[in-house]
Amino acid sequence: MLPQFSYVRPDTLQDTVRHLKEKNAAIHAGGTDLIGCLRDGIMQVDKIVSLNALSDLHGIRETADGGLVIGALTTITEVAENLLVKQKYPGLSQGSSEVASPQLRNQGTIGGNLCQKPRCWYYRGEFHCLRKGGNTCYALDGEHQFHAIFGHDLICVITHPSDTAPPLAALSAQLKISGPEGSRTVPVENFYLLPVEDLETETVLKPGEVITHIVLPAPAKNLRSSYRKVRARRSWDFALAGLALALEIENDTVTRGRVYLSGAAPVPWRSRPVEEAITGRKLDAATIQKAALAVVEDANPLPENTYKMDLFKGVVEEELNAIR
Amino acid sequence: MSNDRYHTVGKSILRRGAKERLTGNPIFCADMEPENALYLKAVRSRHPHAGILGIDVSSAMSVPGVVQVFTAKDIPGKNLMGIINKDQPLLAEDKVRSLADPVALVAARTPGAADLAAAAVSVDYDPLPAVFDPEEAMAQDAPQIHAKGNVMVQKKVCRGDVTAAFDKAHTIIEKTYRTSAIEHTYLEPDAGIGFPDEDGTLVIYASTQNPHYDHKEVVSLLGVEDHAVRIIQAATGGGFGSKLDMNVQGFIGLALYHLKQPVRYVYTREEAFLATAKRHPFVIHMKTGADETGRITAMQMKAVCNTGAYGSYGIAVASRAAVHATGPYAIDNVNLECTAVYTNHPFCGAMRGFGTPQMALAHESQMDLHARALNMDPLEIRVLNGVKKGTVTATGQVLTDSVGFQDCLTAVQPEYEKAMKGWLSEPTPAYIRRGVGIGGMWYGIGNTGVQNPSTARVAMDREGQVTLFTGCADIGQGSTTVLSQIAGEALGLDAMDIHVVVADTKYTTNAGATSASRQTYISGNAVKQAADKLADVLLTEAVNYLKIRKSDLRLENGRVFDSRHPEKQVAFSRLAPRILDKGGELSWQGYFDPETVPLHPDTGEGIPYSTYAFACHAACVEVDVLTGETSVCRVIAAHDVGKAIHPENVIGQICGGVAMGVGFALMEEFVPGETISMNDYHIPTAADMPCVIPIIVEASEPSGPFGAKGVGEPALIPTAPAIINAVTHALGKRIYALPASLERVLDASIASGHFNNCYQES
Repeated sequence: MLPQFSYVRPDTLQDTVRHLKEKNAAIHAGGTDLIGCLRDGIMQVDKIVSLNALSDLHGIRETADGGLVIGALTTITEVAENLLVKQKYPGLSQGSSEVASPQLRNQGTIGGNLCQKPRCWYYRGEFHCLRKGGNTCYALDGEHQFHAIFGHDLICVITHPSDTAPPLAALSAQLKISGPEGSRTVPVENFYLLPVEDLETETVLKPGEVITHIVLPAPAKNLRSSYRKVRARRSWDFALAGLALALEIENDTVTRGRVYLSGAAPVPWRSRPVEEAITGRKLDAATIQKAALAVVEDANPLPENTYKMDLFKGVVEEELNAIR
Repeated sequence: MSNDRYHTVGKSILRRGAKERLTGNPIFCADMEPENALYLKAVRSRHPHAGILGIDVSSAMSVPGVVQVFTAKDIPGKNLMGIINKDQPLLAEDKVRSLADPVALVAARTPGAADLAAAAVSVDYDPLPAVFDPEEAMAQDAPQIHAKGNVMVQKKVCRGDVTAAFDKAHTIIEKTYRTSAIEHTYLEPDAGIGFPDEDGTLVIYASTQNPHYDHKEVVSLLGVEDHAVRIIQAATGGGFGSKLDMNVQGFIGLALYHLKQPVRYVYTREEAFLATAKRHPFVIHMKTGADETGRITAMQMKAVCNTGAYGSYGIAVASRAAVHATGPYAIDNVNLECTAVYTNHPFCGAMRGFGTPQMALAHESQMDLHARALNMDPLEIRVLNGVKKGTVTATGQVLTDSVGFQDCLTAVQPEYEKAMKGWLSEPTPAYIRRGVGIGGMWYGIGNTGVQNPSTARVAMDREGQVTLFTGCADIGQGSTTVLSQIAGEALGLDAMDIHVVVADTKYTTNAGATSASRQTYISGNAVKQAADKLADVLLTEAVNYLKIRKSDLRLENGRVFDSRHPEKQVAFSRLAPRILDKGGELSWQGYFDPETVPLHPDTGEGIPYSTYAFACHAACVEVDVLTGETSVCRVIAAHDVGKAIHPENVIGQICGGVAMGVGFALMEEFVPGETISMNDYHIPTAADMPCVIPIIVEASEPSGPFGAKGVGEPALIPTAPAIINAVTHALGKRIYALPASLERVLDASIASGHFNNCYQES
């Protein structure tokens, strides 16, 4: 059952922000996550503010310096299939094409994908958990085989469900955000909040704020990027483990590398140990072996998800071998 | 086999109901909206096991839009349901035994009011200790779920001397296998509507596999006469066994009885997950012995299956599991035992295969283990042990006809050998390992050692129009089409020229459940018998009319003609009034009950089924040794169906069965209390489906209609063991518990050493 709500579709950003400032207002873009959240009763919503009349928020265009600007309302399918994205940022193209199912990619937007609510069967089920204002994380002592092994601090063990955030963070993308105080720019890597920082919300978005665009810097000449998602079935499933790589490789040596994990933590998780293990080195068997061990260095698995330790080692080994 | 000698049998004609489905007609209950229908909603237990001290419905009744809230005391008849053993109340009386147990039923004018009121029903529970593990539930001091104890049934099959055979065995393999609870996940969640008709009959349309059972049960719940209730099967979007239980029918009957106004109840996916039967999870201890040639000489099997809070079809699952434990192999010395145990899990019931898919995991793994121990090829060991004409089964039954297992093995052999020789050695990335596996199965058609007749009527009117009346519920498998073809073949008519009246308790007689792969064989025979009787009356009258002897006459295209002089003919429409005017009969009833001998309670000796289906699948898989991802590339599926009445339907069943088998093998696991909906429960998507190569084998069954047996459940049974054997082949390490999830495959990969060494190996 859906709750009762009012629905507006403003045609200016200013009006949108004004509506969003109201109490219990929620954004509707593709709606693929919103409808599920409303049905599951995990948020109190009185007003739905549709972004769909904001035509400026659609589409992908190249910037003067060779980067890209992607409107937040661009569908995941458009991002996945865009030739410029494929050429410049294969990792983002791969991440987008791994999202959910074809139908959901056709409907869902890139902005919405970054702002998904967590996937945890307690959070989505009839449990008044910590994140819904209760005082227990049911997954900690319950079934948590799909949950986090990093960054949970034993507070809340969700994993962030996005497949586009890890490659965007790895590619140093920035988010343009509009809100009551005007607009600001936040790097994707600073967009998400850990449970220890905030339990009410997953991102730095303040009431009334909305992502309008995603800005990707021009790719460095030697940039190679990729995204690999491991899951229980081939389609329509969240990552058990994922790896986004953005590496600059010169003469077989990694000169600069950014590495993000999905299915690992409550936020897209930067793996600095892997970055350190490969930066300045040739991607040979020994380096890859070291990187595979490094990926779980600071992990804190739960009793039922220790297998993710091996899984991340395996993915790192497989993907570094593939990208070298 | 040539189909030329048949007019319609063996031809893939357009399915009955295809057009209505493709054009979106409101044939499913969820699309039927009787005027002013009230919405029903069950209030379900919040406890796995608790006494009920009291139920207060007063605040629920004060929710605007609520018409009535029912509890157990409103049930006028007998508050107990169950097709085999009656142990399940429609609404809980003194206690709840699982989280799914309904305690009250709300009828309201809107779905919102029904939900609010359901939440407002206040139940005073006295929580009791609960038990979820069936082996723990068998302990003396375990919480008692039903008054008669937690062991619901124990079925045994013994033959020969197992101890002596193990003493002499060259190789003995003993292992324990585990399988998961499975949700059927049919496309259409359970649904029904009801209304009183002009003469006060309570009419219920339901998504069901067994309208005549529903009828009996609703009549019993309401304590009314048979004619006071009419059940009509609506279009049913899949069942796989779950719609054999009373899901919404009883609730609709109860509300109709009291309120005498239209009602509807459509389960959400969440409610279908919570409240309907699951496949029984099994723990199977299996020990087998072989001689030095690889011949299996002895099997000892002890299985425990968790039936949850209620019996449903649990007894049938236990007995079928025991009878099928040997697989399609001749084993002279057996000691087989399956125990079904009550626990506080939501109840388990029928699901495609009734315990046989679980058993197939065990016997097919054992076959491969023996092959490996003796350095034999997996196909070779199955050929050596596979049943053939004259084999005596574990229950002492001699297999006489239609024993197509060896034919199925032969049918997969070329593709299997191609895969073993060519495909396996193709280059792959270092982290991908390939494997090929075989799975065999047998499956007794119909219920196990008990009567399970079907009836049908075939009638011709004065104008010569034929109508088939069958109680057989078509749940998407296409039985109405197949039964029309059988009637058409007997009468020389196109199947589509026959009118059909299906699964309506007012007009059709009992055809039994659409389960146990029995409808083509059993109802097919009933239909054929009725149609043959009608044909005979037509022929007799045609002898009189054409003055030609009966043995020369044939039926075709709505007429009877002389096979030697086809121009000598007479139309059915001429014969019909002549027969009727002479006081003849044009409406004929058919009846068929397969010949079985009940199983001896201690030894299991008897003839459980009059015929068996056989199959063999070969699966080709790729395993990513670094991530545990398993991809099933190809399944070659050979099925002995006796005779394919409608080959495309058979192929549809095979491909659907493989899909379900992929899920059973690799990803499906229902965790009570955690699995809420398809968000948390993985079934294969199109992207997970292998290329399926279906092969139809036809070892004609003399007692079957045109030689046919069944294929519905067999389609699924060999897939999971074939996949598990292929994964084992790829990794060199076996998985003994289903599903072989990514986590378990990854563990096996680590244990096999491939995880750590794949780049060095390549």
